[in-house]
Amino acid sequence: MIQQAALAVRDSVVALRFPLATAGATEARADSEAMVRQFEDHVLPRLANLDAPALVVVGGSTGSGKSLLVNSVLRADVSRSGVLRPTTRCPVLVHHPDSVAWFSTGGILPGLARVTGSEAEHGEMGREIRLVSSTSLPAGIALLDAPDFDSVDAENRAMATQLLAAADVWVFVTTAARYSDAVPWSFLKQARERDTPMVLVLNRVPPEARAQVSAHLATLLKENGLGEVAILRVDEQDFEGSRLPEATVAPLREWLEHLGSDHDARLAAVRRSLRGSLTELLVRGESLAKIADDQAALVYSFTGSVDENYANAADAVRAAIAEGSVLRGEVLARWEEFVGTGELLRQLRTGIGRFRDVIAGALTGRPKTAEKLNGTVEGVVESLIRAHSDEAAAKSYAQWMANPMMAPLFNPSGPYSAALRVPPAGSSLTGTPDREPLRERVSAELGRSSAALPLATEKLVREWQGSLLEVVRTRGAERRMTARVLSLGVNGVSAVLMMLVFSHTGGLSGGEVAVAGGASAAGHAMLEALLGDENLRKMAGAAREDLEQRVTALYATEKARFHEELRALGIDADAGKLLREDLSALKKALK
Amino acid sequence: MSFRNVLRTDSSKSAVRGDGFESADQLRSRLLLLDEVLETGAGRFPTDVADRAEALSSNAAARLGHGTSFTVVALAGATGSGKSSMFNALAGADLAPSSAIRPTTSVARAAVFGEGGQSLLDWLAIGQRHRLGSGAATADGSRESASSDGSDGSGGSGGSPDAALKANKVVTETDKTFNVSGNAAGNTYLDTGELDGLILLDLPDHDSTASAHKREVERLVEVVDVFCWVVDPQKYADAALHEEYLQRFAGHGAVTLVALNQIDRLSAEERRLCIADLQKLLLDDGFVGVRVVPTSAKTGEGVNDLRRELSARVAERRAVVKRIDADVDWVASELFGATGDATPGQVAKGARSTMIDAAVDVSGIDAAADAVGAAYRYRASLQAGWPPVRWMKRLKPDPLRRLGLGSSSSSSDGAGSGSVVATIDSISVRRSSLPAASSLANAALASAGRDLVASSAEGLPELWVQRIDGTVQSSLSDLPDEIDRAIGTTTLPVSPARWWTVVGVLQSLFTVALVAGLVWLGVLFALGWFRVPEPPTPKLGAFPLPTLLALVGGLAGFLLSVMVRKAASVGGRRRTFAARSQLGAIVGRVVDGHVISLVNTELSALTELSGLVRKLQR
Repeated sequence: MIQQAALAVRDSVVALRFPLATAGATEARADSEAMVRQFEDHVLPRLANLDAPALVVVGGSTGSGKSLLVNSVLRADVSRSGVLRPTTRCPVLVHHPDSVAWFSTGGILPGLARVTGSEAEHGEMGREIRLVSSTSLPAGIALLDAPDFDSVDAENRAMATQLLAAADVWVFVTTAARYSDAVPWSFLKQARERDTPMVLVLNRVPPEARAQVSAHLATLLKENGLGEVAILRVDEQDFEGSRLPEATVAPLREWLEHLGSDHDARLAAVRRSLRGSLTELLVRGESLAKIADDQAALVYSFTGSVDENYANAADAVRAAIAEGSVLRGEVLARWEEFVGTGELLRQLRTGIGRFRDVIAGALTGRPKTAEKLNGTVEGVVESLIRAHSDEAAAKSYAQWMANPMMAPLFNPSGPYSAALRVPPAGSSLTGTPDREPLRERVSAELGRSSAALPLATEKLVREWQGSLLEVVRTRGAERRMTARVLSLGVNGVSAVLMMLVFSHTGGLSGGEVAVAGGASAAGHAMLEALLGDENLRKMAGAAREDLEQRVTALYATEKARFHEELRALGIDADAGKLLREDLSALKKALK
Repeated sequence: MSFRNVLRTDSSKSAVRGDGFESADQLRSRLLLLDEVLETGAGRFPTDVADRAEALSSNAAARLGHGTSFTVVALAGATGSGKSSMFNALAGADLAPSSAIRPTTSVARAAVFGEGGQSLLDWLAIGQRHRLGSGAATADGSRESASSDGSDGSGGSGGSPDAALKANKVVTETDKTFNVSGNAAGNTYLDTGELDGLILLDLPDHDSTASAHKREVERLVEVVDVFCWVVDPQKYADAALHEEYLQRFAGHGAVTLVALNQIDRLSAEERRLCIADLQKLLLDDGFVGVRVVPTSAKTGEGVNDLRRELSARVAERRAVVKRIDADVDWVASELFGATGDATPGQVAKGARSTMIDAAVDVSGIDAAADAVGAAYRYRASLQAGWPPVRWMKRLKPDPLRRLGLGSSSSSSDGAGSGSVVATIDSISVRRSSLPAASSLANAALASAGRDLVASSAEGLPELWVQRIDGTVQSSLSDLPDEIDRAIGTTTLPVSPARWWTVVGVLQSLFTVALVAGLVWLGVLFALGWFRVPEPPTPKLGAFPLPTLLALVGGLAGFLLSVMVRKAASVGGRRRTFAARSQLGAIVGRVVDGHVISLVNTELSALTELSGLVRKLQR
């Protein structure tokens, strides 16, 4: 049951994404990976098999003599020791021949490849463990000589951290020159959090300062809540050959042999470190859930602000239509021309008049005024829709740009770039990291309307005009006016109706009413007579609503580009909640 | 305090010049250049970069102000590497306590070789001082102690000493002069006279759990002249050393020494390997040609080598300049990272004209220009129209008056047909009276602003794009008001055309003829009605004169008024066009003055800035 709960937590942690630079996101990213690794390296295999040999990891600073210690305990040169730092790069796992199956099949540390044979053959390869079988160890334990955690070699540091997290028991090596360094102490504090069983080896103690240093270290350990930890002191000395003197390492060897042969003691140690790990993982999980919530909240708020910007844009278009700003300038001039030239009136007559106009239009080569009016109205409406779409895009983009937490979206070479490598869904961190290539930078293109907008707007206006005509047909049929109305011709009808939509709501204001003079009023009166006042108002209202709906739909596809960017971050809104549920299930199972 | 300020004071000038080194002038001009960059670039660099550069500039100024007669060398390194032992070995006396307990040294201490240097030590905020050297006298020591106490009280100069340090500030200026001849191990040292002018600092560690130590180190590595990193075979590859310090100061190779201490622990073969590995690591850190001196403070081996290195640097007296020069290099490359290779041009013509068009739309001047044309037509018809139908025109309001533009002559309104026209020669345009800008026009203006930013800031660093964007946005928000103000002081000519009067007189004549003819005919008709004998009616040719008068007067008046209408419409159009171009020019000037020129100023400032940074970078 614990196993399933732990598996569930692992899966929820794998699903977490921290691509945005919210507080603690960088740490959370590293920590979520470390957590997943700890589950897979230690917790899950250990839950599956409590009786498997215990893993004793020898860890410590560079130059603290870990390899020498391991060699001396085993009385064999399994790991290279020397003066060059860092000495050990490939971790060496020494196990009893009987337990080869457990260690070589990758029950623990499944992410690391196994190699056998001497170090010389393999040289310095990354991310693998060298297996050495030795009978000097009891079957119940295995000894892992880890690389250092504080040298310039970053690969080493990552490896050491991973290995220590996977250990059942620690042998922590430090020296008289090192024992108050900040880095080892950060690990010791981790061990305290996890309640890992541990032996501390204080190496290279100058004989003259033996008492002084041991006492100081003991005080430090007590101050940090690690008073129970056993200290094994090793003097600074000219060691014989490449081993520490027998007498020095004897206590450590005895302790290891006891652990290896006493089943109950080993099980107790294994259970203790497992429980400690799980407890610590619960705490870390909680803080991850919190940060995941922050990420989701940020995505939510940006989704909201994008929606708002486009809603404002749609409102602005609506307002512009209502206040009659479409009817200014050029459009008004064309309307006056249309009404003033008498084309409207002429078109209302049937037969010979229209025939004459067609002939005249063909002869003079001038586009008819209705067409000119239509073209102008279309142009103005299109540019209105486009201008507000531009504005919404620019505003949304600027809001993203201005928020430093969104910075990773814009700077792929920055410190957060790795976060944008979204692993394929469902994969864990096991095996070779097989990740998608870096996503393209969120480009400045996003700050403008999409390239498809001009065409889409054109289509929108055309389709709207089409539906206007449809309305006229059905409405007109009711009033048996179809023939007379349609006699205006397609261009005439749509022109007049568009004018109605744009003038019937707010109408003109101020000087322009007068500038427009009686012309539009005359046109209006004429149409009223033609279609009826009530009918006219209804039609204009329906047409306006239709236009608004179309604009809203168009803006929805525009803002989808922003939503797509946010979705591509892979942040699940419920990830934090799910993780918390799994964590509490695990907590319950632990009790 | 900037470097420029230091130069202004005479004493510091002599302090910088008095010691005489070749590149001092170069450094001085570089620091002046840096100040110029920071001045020009105020607000144009990321805050953290600018802050670091400012700090460097003021540190450099302060350090140079203290002269180059002393060279400050810091022994820095990890805990347990033997900094204090090396300090003691170099000083030839047990000044600093060294111990097996880690960490040992918690506050930096100084060994001063030679006389003077108190103010420099005050600036460095080093409390624990030991005076050494051949010439130092006991009396000096006590006097210095008093004087430095005094200066501490006044707040000291430069730097901001740690609070912890201040509390701890017992000046332990040692009273005795150490007799330097050798140490317990029996090694004889060079005469310390060679080290005169050296201030040797023993820094705390940077890698222990005591974070206050690291803060002290952080403070001092920014201000010392020469770094002497003390490493040991156990810790020489620590990440804390390489990643946090050596890589950061890799540009300071000229003022960096590395002492591989505790060399006595290694065999000859191990030494060779270890030194080679350390040198490789230093190369990886980015250092070029830094010498690794193998030393052992315990046996005294190599200490003289290190001493010789130090004395060479002290004698040369150029470490101060080299250090600051390396700092400037570093800051310059940081600044360059912020400016990039950007050499923006000026605002493109296309972007400018789009902007002006949008501004014209927003300003509503078209309405004013149209009104001017309409007013012309209106007045022409009032004055030169056909008198019989003139009264109908009066029913329509004056277009200018409708926009509230021609209010100055309202007193004479309605008095006579000609008086209104006569009194208004020009109108002043107030934006408040023009129709409010449509949202479409506003959106177009905003869009033009974005285009302007996008086209002129293309390829510039993000911060600069934001700056230009900010400039444009703020000036666009003021733009309508600015246009308003500029137009408000403008007058548009609507003076009557001369031909109106001529035509008016003609129209009157024709009307008089028409009326006279009609009256005459009327009289004739009345006489006939009352059977009064008609007086003889003069004839012109075959037509009676009154008939002719009425016909000709009426026909001519009608034709003339048709012509007037045509002429007025042409004239009105011309006036509209003139008014539009006059107002458009004003709007263009406002746009140029309040938007384009600001962007251009910013752009050329940026060009200048990146030029300066490139120059600073060399």
